[in-house]
Amino acid sequence: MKNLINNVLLVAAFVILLASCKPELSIPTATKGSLNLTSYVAIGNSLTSGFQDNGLFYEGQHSSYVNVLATQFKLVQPDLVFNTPYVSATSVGCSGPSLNITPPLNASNPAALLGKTFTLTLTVPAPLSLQTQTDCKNVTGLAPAPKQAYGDGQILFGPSFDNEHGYTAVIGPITIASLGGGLIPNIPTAPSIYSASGPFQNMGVPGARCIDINKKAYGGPSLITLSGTTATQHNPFFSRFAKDQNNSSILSDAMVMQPSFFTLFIGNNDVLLWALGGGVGGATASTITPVPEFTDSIRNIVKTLTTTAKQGVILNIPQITGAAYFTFHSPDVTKYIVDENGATRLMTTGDMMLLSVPNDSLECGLKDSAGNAFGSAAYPIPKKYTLTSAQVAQVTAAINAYNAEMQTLASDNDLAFFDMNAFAQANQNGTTYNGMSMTGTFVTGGIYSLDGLHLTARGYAALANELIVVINAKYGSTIPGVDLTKLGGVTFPQ
Amino acid sequence: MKIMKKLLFLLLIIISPRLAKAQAFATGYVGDKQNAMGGAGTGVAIDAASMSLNPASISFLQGNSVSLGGAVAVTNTAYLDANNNSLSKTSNPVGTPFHLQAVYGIKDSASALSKLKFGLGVTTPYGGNIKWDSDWTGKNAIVAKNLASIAIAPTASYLITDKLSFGASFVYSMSTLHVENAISVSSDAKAVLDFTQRGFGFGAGVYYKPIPKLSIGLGYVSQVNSKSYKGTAKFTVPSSLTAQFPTGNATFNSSVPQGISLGAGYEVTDKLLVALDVTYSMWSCFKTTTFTYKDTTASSAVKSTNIPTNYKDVFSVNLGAQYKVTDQLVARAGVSYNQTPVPSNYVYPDVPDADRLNLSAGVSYNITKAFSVDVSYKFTDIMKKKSTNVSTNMTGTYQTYAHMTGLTLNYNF
Repeated sequence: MKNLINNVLLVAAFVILLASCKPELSIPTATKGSLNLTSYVAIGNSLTSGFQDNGLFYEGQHSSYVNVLATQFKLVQPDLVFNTPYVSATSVGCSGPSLNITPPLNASNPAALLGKTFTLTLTVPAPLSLQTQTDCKNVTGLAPAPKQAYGDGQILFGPSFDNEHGYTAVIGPITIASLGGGLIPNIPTAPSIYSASGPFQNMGVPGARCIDINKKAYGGPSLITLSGTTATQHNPFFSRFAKDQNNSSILSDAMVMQPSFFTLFIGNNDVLLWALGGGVGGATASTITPVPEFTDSIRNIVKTLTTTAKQGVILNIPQITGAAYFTFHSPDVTKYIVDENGATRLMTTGDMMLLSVPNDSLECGLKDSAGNAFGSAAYPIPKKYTLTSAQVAQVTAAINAYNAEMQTLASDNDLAFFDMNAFAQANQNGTTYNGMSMTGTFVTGGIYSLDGLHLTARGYAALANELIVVINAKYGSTIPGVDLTKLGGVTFPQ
Repeated sequence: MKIMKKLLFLLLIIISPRLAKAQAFATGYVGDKQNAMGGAGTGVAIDAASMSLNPASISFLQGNSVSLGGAVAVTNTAYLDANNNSLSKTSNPVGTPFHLQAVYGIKDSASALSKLKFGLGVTTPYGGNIKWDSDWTGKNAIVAKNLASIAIAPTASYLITDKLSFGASFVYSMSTLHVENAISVSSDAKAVLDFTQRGFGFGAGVYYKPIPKLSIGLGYVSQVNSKSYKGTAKFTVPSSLTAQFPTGNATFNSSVPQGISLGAGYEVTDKLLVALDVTYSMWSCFKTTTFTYKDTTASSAVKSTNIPTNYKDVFSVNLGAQYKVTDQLVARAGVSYNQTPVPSNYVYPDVPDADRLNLSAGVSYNITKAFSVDVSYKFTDIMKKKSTNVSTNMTGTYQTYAHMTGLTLNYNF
């Protein structure tokens, strides 16, 4: 019996020993290969800034693909500095300013302004959130709407800006003196946060086109400057963090940091700003940037960057007309009549209806005072809400030309190239990450934010992950991606 | 909404082919002598628990007996995600498989063995407690799964000649399944599914002892189709999405594979017995798991979830030996190798299965002539396996170690 007890004890000890044995998989160490990450600078537009839900706000900025990228870079370059020009974490954030001048300012012929009086209204909308709303058919559902009546315009125009009322001014009558050099009086200006928190490695500026990147004083102190015979509209998203508002270009501020590695994702707005407004100009851009102009400017940017940065990634641009902003209303456009410069016609397959169209007007056949339904011959849809198939073709042609140039530049300069267009296409088709499905579907897909153009935190991180794959392949590094399941898509109301 | 498509994965099988060796979520535990001998036992009538491997074996047991036992199963899985380098480990509740077998035959004065013997076997053929961290990278596939089953098998065996017997059993089994997974619409959205199933099947076996030193057994178990008679699906989602998700009742029906096992035992010396089993389990009946939701309020809501599994038919080889150290003490050891039915592109984190290597050992002690105790321990290395799942796209490496320690009390009369 004593033997038995001994044996049992022996077996018990053995069992405890083995039971403590658990599987141990070891996490591979991230390595940087030939990457030189002493100074990483990101150049781009709103997509690089982390803009989403039609706004710039702290969490969005934090979720930018370049911030995700930099965070992963720190695994192999712990001393990497990557600053983002954050807005206050408590701010609701701001959308792009809405500037309304009546009668319209003819910037190309300022002399004609002489003696005239204008009314200028400047407001800043708030970012969007998903809200329960009742539509014109009395159907309650979820739809994107501004989080509150006004955004935080002080982000763009400084502490004196009245968020609730916006800024209104009567300009004029315009005199020779005001034409000669001054600012349009009294437009609030934002001081730059550069001296307090700069320099900033995230140089993503909402609204920037390729041809804006090397523009001197692109972030001028005021929204509009009349100088000599030129009226310049400055970009307040750059003003707020420009090193020198009177002189800086995005590129010159980037070069201050002597980048060793860069990401360059620019060109969307060279077509998008025009397409967003239905190709009619006005408050957005009056033309698509001509290919030769785009080519000159992108070459110049890459040439300048590569004086210090021998490594980097150039991202091409997606076919923007694949974004929800363009596709959401487009499947059934053929029943509507559009007004094209006074000529009305029935829309045809291939034409696109933009997300900016007043939805209720479409859904419920909004009627004008004479009782004509919106989209009918007597009350046609304004052109600014549509793109014709010919315009879509123009967009496609421009993007193809831009992308060809960017791919050539990447290979000529021995840089990595990322096919953003293919990435966007894959998103349209839908992907699955660790059991989580992601598609390009508006609102529910999880990739596109509520503005239908910019990505969600999850979408931006998915982009960062794909960039990391390309970077690893080019530079022999083994940097891991981030866990997309920990990042949110569109937020649904509780 | 495609959200639900990736809801979860869980296994159809709830009831029991007793012949499934320890594969996927089969426990492989029928008794501690068998557990110590590498799971072999189709061809050796060693105790009452043998009936759970081969119903014909009870004809060759001397007298009547009852075996009752249980085990503690500790299983730990680690997963290294290849895309984001996250390392996740399970914190599984302890599994507690158990068994009860009783054999009774009318004493036949002409022979040591009864002509007709009856048995009752109660086992827990399937089980699985897996629990991952609620925020782990595979949470949209699975967070927790709890599978428990019990199979009750009345058995009879007829001694055709002194050397040959035929046995059969009827199998009634019940099981419960609990599944939880996250839904990506918000950080705390989740799906919780609960099912209770029951099903019927049968088993049959032949036992042949051509010479005193050699015995051979053949066991078969039918495919069993079972239905859930109770099922609920509960989705916790932001209130604005509630209408998009089903509520209330859900069903899912399953089939478990048929299997056939060939075993042999050989007495090398008076003290040493060697046993070998080869089992073929036809898991390929598992193609897809489908959950059907009964109550949906919105026409756009998901009606069902389909999860492709594509299991395949596989072999197991189990080898064991026992050695009589003294009249009171018997030592046992075994080794077995189980092919996994789970193809590498169909591994889901609720059943992180791979080919298994099992090492086991145990002892029995006869306290009195009638009363004995068995102790066994089995270590299983569910081998490191790299997998890219076709449905979830999870790409990474799984590794699992399992430890099972059991104790059985036997009474012979």
